[in-house]
Formats: sequence, C-alpha cells, structure tokens
Amino acid sequence: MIILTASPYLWALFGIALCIGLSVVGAAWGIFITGSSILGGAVKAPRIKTKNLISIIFCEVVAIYGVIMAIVFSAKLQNIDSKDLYTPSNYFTGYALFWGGITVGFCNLFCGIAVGITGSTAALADAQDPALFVKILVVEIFGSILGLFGLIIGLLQTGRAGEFAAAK
Amino acid sequence: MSSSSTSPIIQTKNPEFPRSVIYKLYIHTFFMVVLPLSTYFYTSKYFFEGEYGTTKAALSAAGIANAVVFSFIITAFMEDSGEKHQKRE
Repeated sequence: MIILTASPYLWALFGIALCIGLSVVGAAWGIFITGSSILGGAVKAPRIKTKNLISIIFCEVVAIYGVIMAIVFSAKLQNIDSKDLYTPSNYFTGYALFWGGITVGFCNLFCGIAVGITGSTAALADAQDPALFVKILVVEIFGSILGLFGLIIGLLQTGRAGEFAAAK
Repeated sequence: MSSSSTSPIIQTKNPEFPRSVIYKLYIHTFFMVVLPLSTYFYTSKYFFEGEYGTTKAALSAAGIANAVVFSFIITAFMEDSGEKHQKRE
C-alpha cells in the first residue's frame, strides 16, 4: 500500500537522483581506471600522455549525458499543493521520470565502466606499440554509443510526460 | 628529510608536455560542459516549440557534446603527428 500512496514527487526526484548519480559513478569509475593506467604507463613511455586523454574525454561525455537528462527531467518539476497533486497525469510524470532516470543512469554506468577498462588497456597497449591505439579507439567509440542509447530511450520515455499540474 | 643531493632533479617545464597541449585540454573540457547545456537551453527556448520540444533540444545538446569529443580526437591526432614530424627533423 505504501507504494500505491507514494507521492509522484518521490518517484520523480528519485529518478532524477539516480540519473545523475549513476552517470557520475560510471564516468568516475572509467576515469580513475583509465587515469591510473595512463599515469603508470607514462613513466616509461611519456609519449602516450596526450593521445590517451581521448579515453578520459569519452568517459566525461557519459557524465554530460547524465547532466543533460537530469536538467531535462527537472524542468518538469513544479510546486503543486498536495490536495491537487494526485492526478493520473502527475502519476505518469512521476513514474516516467523514475524509470527514465534508471534507464539513463544504468546505461551510463556501464558505458563508463566499459570505456574506462578499454581506455586503460589502450593506454598500456599504446605504450608498447603505437599502431594499436587507433584500432582500440574503434572499440571505445562502440562503447561510448551505449550511453547515447540510454539517453535516446530516456527521452522517448519522458517525452510525453507533462509538467506537474494541479488538478482542475 | 632527504637532502637535495639524493633526490632527483624535478623539471618544472616538461619539454614533452608543452603548454599548448594543456590549454587545448582545458578549453575542450570547458566547452564540453558549457556548450551542451547552453545549446539545450537556447534551442528549447527559441527553436523547438511544441510537444517534443525538450526532446529535440536534448538531442541537439547530445550532438554538440559528441562534436566536442570529435574535435578533441582530431586535435590530439594532429598534435601527435606534428610531434612525430618534429622528432624526425
């Protein structure tokens, strides 16, 4: 019964929190894996420093997707009195923001981890053999598209959800 | 603490990592944060009206973010090939 009587605000704000939170977890995870590998490999092969920042930028793009979606979702929040809040349209907005946030958050989380592990291996392979970097970059581009999928589906889920509006 | 005779010499200006590289990275990071968000707000206010306005604005912001990534990739590769030509000469 608690789930049925939970406020749409709970669902909406929880979704926004998961969206940005999980995206940043994915981006941070990727950046620390890649960053430590670049720094370790650059001890013996300093030339890898500049080119391997591409992997860091790919991980950061994942966090930017999360920020964009959190801003898009939070634009639907309005201040509604609690007696006018429980309309079907507001319930739909709450649920849509919750599941849209989970979609975007988890897609960005695993995209960030994938790009991070690939980027760290790319740095170490580049330190050994410079010709390998361009080929591993293709793998990273494919991994980075996963975050874009999450963004598109999150937008499709919440595209029709209106702002919170008072009952008429 | 170890005296200066036993510690290695620390270079403050690293010739392999010139300042222009750091400036390009900072500029791309700054644009990565600022450009998508400002594109989203600008397009949703002035260009895309109607039911799916915010969706199209968010897609354009994601496109701009990917454009910044692409420009950074091109910059990094051009710098790398520039360094190779310098070292060969």
